[in-house]
Parts: sequence; C-alpha cells; structure tokens
Amino acid sequence: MTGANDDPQLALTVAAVWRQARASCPHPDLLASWLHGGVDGGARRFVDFHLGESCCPTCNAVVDDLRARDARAVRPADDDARARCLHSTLAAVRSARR
Amino acid sequence: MTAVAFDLPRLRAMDEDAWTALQAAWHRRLFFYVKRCVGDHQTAEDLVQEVFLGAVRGIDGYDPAFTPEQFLFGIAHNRVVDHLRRRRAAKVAPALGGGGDDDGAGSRVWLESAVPDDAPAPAAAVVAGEDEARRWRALGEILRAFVGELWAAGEFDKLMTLEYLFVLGGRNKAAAERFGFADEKHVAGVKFRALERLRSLARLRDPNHSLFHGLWQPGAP
Repeated sequence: MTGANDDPQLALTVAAVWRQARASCPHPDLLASWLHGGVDGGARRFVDFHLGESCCPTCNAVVDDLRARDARAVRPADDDARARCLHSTLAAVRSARR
Repeated sequence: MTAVAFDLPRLRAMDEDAWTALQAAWHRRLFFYVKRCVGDHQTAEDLVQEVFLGAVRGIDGYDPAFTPEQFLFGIAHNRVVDHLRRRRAAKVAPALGGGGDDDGAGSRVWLESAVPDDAPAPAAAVVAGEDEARRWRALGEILRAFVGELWAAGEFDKLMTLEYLFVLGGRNKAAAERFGFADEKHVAGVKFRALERLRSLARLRDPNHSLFHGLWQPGAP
C-alpha cells in the first residue's frame, strides 16, 4: 500500500495547504485550557506535538501571548511599542480617509 | 473579543476607534508570531507596525471568506518573508561585489520575483490565479473538516501521524517508529485512507466539477 496509492501529487498539495489553512490548529480557547493543564489524554498529546515537534508558529505565538497575559509580563517598553504602532496606524487611517 | 474588534464596515470607513480596537486585540499575538519568525525584538516591532499599515491599505480588498486572523497573519507572513529576503539579499550582495545597501537588496528581490519568459498572459494569469485561490480555499476547508472529524472521533494519534507526514514531511518508516505502528505499511494505510477521505470530501464540495478537475476524469482514484 505504498507508491502510487500514496498519490504524491495530492499529498504535496495537502502539505502546502495544511499549514497555511491552519487545518489542525486548535482554537485559542483550547490552547488556553492546555496552558492551564485543562486538556488531557490524546488531545493533550496532540497539542504538545503541534506546538513542540510540529512547531506551529501561529499557535506558539498564541501561547506566548497567553503566557504574557497570565504573567502580566507586559513591560512599559512593550506599551511604548504598541503606542508607536497605534500612532502610525492611525496616521495611515487619517491619510486614507482624506 | 476578536469578532467585536473586527468591525469591517467601520474599519473600511477608517474609523479610528475600530482600528484602535483591532490593534488592541491583535498586536501582541502578531508581535509574538513575527518575533518567532525573525528572532529580533526591534525588528519584530517594526514589522508589526508594517502589518497594521498593510491592513489599512488592504482593508478595502478584504475578502470576508477569510477570517480576520487569516487576513492579519497573512500580511504578517508576507512582511516576514519580505524581511528575510532583504536580509538574505543583503548578505549575498557583498559577495557579488554589490554594496549590500537597500537598493541592492531591492534589485535582488525584484530578480527573484521577476516574471519568467514562459509565464501566461496577464488576463489568463488572473483567471488561473482566481481558480487556484478558490481551490486552495476549498482544500483548506476540506482539511479543517477532516481534522474536525478526527478530533470528534478522538483519533489524535492518527491526526499527529498525518501532520507528521504532510506538514513535517516525515517518512512512513520514521512515522511508524515515532507513533508506535507495527510497520510502515500501517502508516501508508493511514495516509491512503486519509487521502481517500479527502477526495470524498472534495467531491462533495465540487458538484459542478469546476474545482478539482482531476477528481472527475475517467480512471481517477
């Protein structure tokens, strides 16, 4: 059951779309539960795999964000960066409105 | 929170409160995503700033078929790729005798994205591009539906195996060892049945035979 049965072309297409479509990415609420130890069994093993071995960049970003919120780790410098970012965004918004 | 934060009519009307809410909801998550990709804190801050500027520029063209997350992370992905290309070009340029400045890097990027001689005419390329986008979107939905079935059935080992094979490019033999299958033939069976199920879901989504032509040709599996 190898070779042609595997359909390499379809497998390649699936591979390309899987990550981009975030096909197996757990919902952020589930990632939050995982972070707080509320996910067990196979689901927990899958989330461990998805974040660790599979290294999903988007879900890892979600988890980093959740950790930062939990730890109240937002430093003043981060606030400054967000303020600068918002300033430039709103300048672009005003410019687009004209 | 994010549904409220993505108020499309107000964002398109360039409502400052809507854009402020959008940034409050997404800034940190985008920052962590970009930082994971580029490594450097300051660069990540700059790129996230560019993401929101890109969102302002692109909001009129936003296709509601995509989620706000796909829209914003799509822009973030593109900014990261642009940045990494520029960085790579800056490293290559001195070796080629160039100055390694922004202009040099820009030329390099331009060369990489130059249209090849055998590319289709612009109009045909647009149609082909739209078809491809429809296929990719449909395949994304099919994959999510399939993964949802595996979640509902509690088949997490199978899901891990498939992600290992498809996303990480793992070999059947390695997957058998990694996930405790008796041998690689069992892994090939899991993969084969997954592709069969995906074909079946694809046919359900393509009653007019307009998306996945290969599925409907005589002799197709």
